[in-house]
Amino acid sequence: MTYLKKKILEVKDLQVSFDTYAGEIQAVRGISFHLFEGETLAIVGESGCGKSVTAKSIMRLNPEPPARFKSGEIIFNGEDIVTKSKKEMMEIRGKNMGMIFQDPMTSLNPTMTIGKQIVEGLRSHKNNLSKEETHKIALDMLKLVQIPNAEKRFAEYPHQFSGGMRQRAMIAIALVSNPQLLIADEPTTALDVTIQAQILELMKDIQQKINTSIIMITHDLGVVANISHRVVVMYGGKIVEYADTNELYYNPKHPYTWGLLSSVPRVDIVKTGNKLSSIEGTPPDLFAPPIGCPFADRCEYSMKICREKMPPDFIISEGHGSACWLSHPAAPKVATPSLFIGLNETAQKRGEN
Amino acid sequence: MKLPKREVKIKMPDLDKKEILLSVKNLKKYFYVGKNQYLKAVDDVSFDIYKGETLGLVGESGCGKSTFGRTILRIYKATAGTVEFEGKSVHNLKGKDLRNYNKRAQMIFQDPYASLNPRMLVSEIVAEGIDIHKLSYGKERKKRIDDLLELVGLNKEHANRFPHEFSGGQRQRIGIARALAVDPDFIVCDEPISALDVSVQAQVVNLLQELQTKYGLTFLFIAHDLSMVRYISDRVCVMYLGSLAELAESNTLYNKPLHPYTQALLSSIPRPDPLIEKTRKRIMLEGDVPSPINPPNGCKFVDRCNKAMEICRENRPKMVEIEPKHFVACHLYDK
Amino acid sequence: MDKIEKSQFEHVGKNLEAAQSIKRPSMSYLQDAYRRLKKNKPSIISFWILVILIILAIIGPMISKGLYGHNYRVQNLNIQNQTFILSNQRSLKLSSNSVFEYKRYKPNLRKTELKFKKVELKGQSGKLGFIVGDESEESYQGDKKEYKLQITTTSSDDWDSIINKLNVESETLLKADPAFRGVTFKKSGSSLVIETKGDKKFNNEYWLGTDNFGRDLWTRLWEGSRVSFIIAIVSVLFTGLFGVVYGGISGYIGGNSDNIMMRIIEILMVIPDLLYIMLLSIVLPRGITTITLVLAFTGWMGTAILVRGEVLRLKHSEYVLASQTLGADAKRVIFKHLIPNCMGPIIVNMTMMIPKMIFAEAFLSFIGLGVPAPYASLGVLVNDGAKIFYQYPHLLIIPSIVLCLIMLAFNILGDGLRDSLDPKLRK
Repeated sequence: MTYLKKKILEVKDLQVSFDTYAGEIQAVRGISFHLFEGETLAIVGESGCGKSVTAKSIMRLNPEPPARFKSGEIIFNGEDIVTKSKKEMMEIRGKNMGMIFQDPMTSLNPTMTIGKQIVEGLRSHKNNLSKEETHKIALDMLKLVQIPNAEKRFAEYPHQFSGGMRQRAMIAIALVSNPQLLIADEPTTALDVTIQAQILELMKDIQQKINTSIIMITHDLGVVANISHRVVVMYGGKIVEYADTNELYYNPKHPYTWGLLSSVPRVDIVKTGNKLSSIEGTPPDLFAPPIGCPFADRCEYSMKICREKMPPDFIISEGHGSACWLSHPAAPKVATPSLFIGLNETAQKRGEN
Repeated sequence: MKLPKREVKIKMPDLDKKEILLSVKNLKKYFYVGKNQYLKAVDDVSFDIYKGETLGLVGESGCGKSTFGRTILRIYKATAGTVEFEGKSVHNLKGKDLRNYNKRAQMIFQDPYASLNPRMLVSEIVAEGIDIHKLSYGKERKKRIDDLLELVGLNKEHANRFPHEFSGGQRQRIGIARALAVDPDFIVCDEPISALDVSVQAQVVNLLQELQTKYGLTFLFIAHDLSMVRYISDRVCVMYLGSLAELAESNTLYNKPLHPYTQALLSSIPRPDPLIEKTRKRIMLEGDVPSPINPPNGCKFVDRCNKAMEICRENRPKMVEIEPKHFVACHLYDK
Repeated sequence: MDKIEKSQFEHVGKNLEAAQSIKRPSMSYLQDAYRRLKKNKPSIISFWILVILIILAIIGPMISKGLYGHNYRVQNLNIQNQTFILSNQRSLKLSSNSVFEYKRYKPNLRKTELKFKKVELKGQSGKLGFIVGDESEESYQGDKKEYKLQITTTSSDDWDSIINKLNVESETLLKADPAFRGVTFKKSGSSLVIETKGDKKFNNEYWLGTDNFGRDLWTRLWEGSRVSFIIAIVSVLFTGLFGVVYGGISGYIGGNSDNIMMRIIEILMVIPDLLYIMLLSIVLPRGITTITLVLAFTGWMGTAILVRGEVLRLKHSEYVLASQTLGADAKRVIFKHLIPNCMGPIIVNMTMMIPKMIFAEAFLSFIGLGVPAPYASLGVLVNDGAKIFYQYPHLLIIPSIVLCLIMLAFNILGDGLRDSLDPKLRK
């Protein structure tokens, strides 16, 4: 599947810190990734790993100060976002980039009708559209996100919508100007399972229709398996592994990824024993991040070098990299833990079709 | 001071021989919301909880499971029906008897950020139950606090810090320590893991299981995440809009769900397996979860059910034992 | 890539101790608020100003009592209305003038300097005379002397020669009696300026001067500040205590009891404060305790409403629910959980009430219901000073400055506290 795709976004060695009373918190410590047109990239990690900060940095939504771009570039459509002024960013936001947030209840203005909020997204970018035209576009948006009775709903307020409806409205607001990039920060975490399924289907559907690229931030590995084409795993402010989705689930190489995958409970696999595998300990405090690999203190397989030096990106195969000393050619061989045999078998059974 | 040693149960014993710890019969909790309308949060629920088991209670938001948990613990007063703890009715208790019940039945809350008083030190939070019931003082009290913290996987040093300095998972552990401080027999876990990351959820669930084995605790585990509930529960019951839909042993429910709602619920959970996830067929429920204010007369699921029949609109189905220990409330299985 | 030694790949494994430790310094809510407050310069300056004023209020009267035996009530009519700068200049009066005309006449307050503006010579011979000193008053020098200074002019005299003659006459008188001290005559532009000479020195005993009863202003100022502070702080403490308890209980209990309690407050608030104050002042004897009680009574309602609002907001929090599940009674929930979490707005409210109370007390003095004489409070001082402002301004200006400083400092400090105690602004 290698045809030439256009690169929409390229993040190079991004470092973002927060200056607080206690000192500098290094939230993002040098990450690099890219995004192609029309694809969905998932950024996975625990709370505090830096994924939300990364997403907000792409849209420059972190208040600066206390946030600070220590170094790195974010190239969007050929231009570096980091160097843009506030005014230029306001142009880009909404028009070329849209964002949907986690909590649909607090992300919508309770005193404006839904219709008006969608229209606002259009109006704030100077385009020569008349009032009727913007109304029509907004209405079409509501229909696109499958809100029934769109005409009636247009004039209603957020509190008259249910949680799932509000999230759809948020998607409509974010997509109204046909942005090339949609950033979704844990959009389904606050929703019920049945509603979550609907929203994920909707997002995939819209992506087909208008060819938006999506960055999906989540900690739910089921959602990632459902919607993403490629995955980036973050821990302690760094990317520890990245790969195509199938490759990550069936051939993971980083102990943290192993830990994550084995701690997800499965509804369809028979309960084997009473204990659920978990990663003991808590993520590092980015106020005083460790010198070596951030995962070393919690890693069963950690070695002397892991605590002394930060592992570089080792290339496993095309598009698959792991920042782990275990992937160094001279490192001792470690077998992938048994909990994935099930997954690997499934892949083999399906015969990679 | 060590918490007293109880019978250590390693394997799940035969349910037939179990003692009933809590018995709920026709419990109703309605809230009056004005204009002659009632929010029927819990609408005629009956089942028993056996000593030493973990009963999972699942359902989507607004189905009444939290209200149910709180009504059992007397946080809310029941509108109708009975709750019996070890044979004695809970809703007539007053004064000293009520305080005793508080010591024996406790709760772990959902939001680790809101369930701890931000102005209190961790040691004060954990010891609140001890202080209210005057269980110990001075050095003994301090030792008990330290023991509780270590029991849940924290350090003694953490006692002198404030909640905001901890992560979500650690705060939840503090909440567990607080509930354990009064040495309860029964704990209602009200969505204790929903607000945590997946890897942390596993830690907390493992901890709860360890504690159950060590101290012979009985859990009512309320959650909306079916996948985690499977790991910890012996039996699971599914709730929809205030009424029970299905109740069965854990494996049975997951392998052979009978109620259409249970089937749809299980189907909509995303599997962490891309090849399966992207190709499987899902049962998609249309529309939103309806409101519990003035629900329909017949089966509450009728508007979203893909197998609805005429009778479903008129007649509310009752919980019937279709096969041993497997109960369903659905007209599809009427004999 | 550098070559890595084989030993580096030695297995180490987990280190959960390190993984769980908290590296940041622990900070309670109040410590964090204090740290944020320190950054707010105006608040810190206000804080120190208040500290200085309070210290002065405590030790000020003690100092002057120790040094000179001053007291807020000792009167000495001989030294009325002195300012903090004393001079032994004598006063000056024009006694006879047939020499020049002038458009305006401007004497200074003590008539030690006379200015005649837009003067014109009449151009004829005549007499020009001044009286220096005053026989009827005891001067600062302790004598009752009077001097006559007189010259005669001819039609050929111009201003320079007249000035000369006057200065010469002054020298003559000075030689005869050094206690005369001398008079200077000057012409600047079209004005004639005449000034008596003398030494100026700071008033040693009465640092800020005296009032119209000869009482030391310094002592009365700090005694008065003491009284104002005490009235304000004690009344605010009372309102705080009562308001917090009332509002806390009302908010927590809810239902009909809450309704009744709130209606009572509303009725009380409808009646104007002044009416209470007057009624209570009639019934109770005038004094500091009365005023404190009266002011406390008018203030508690606001605090109660504030606290009730906060309690209503917090009463459904999960930690309150957890506490109730553990079996906590209402008293414990209100005082251990709810009220500590409202401390922010309560502290701000109380800080902002203090200047209101001080001003209210000043207002009471104005309408005559304040602290009775001979006691002093800032309000009393300001009011007394206002009566003779044109003659002796220092009696109004000095207490006003202190009053304004206190009120301003409390207000700025209160603003700073409000920002630093708001958890949402925490960084």
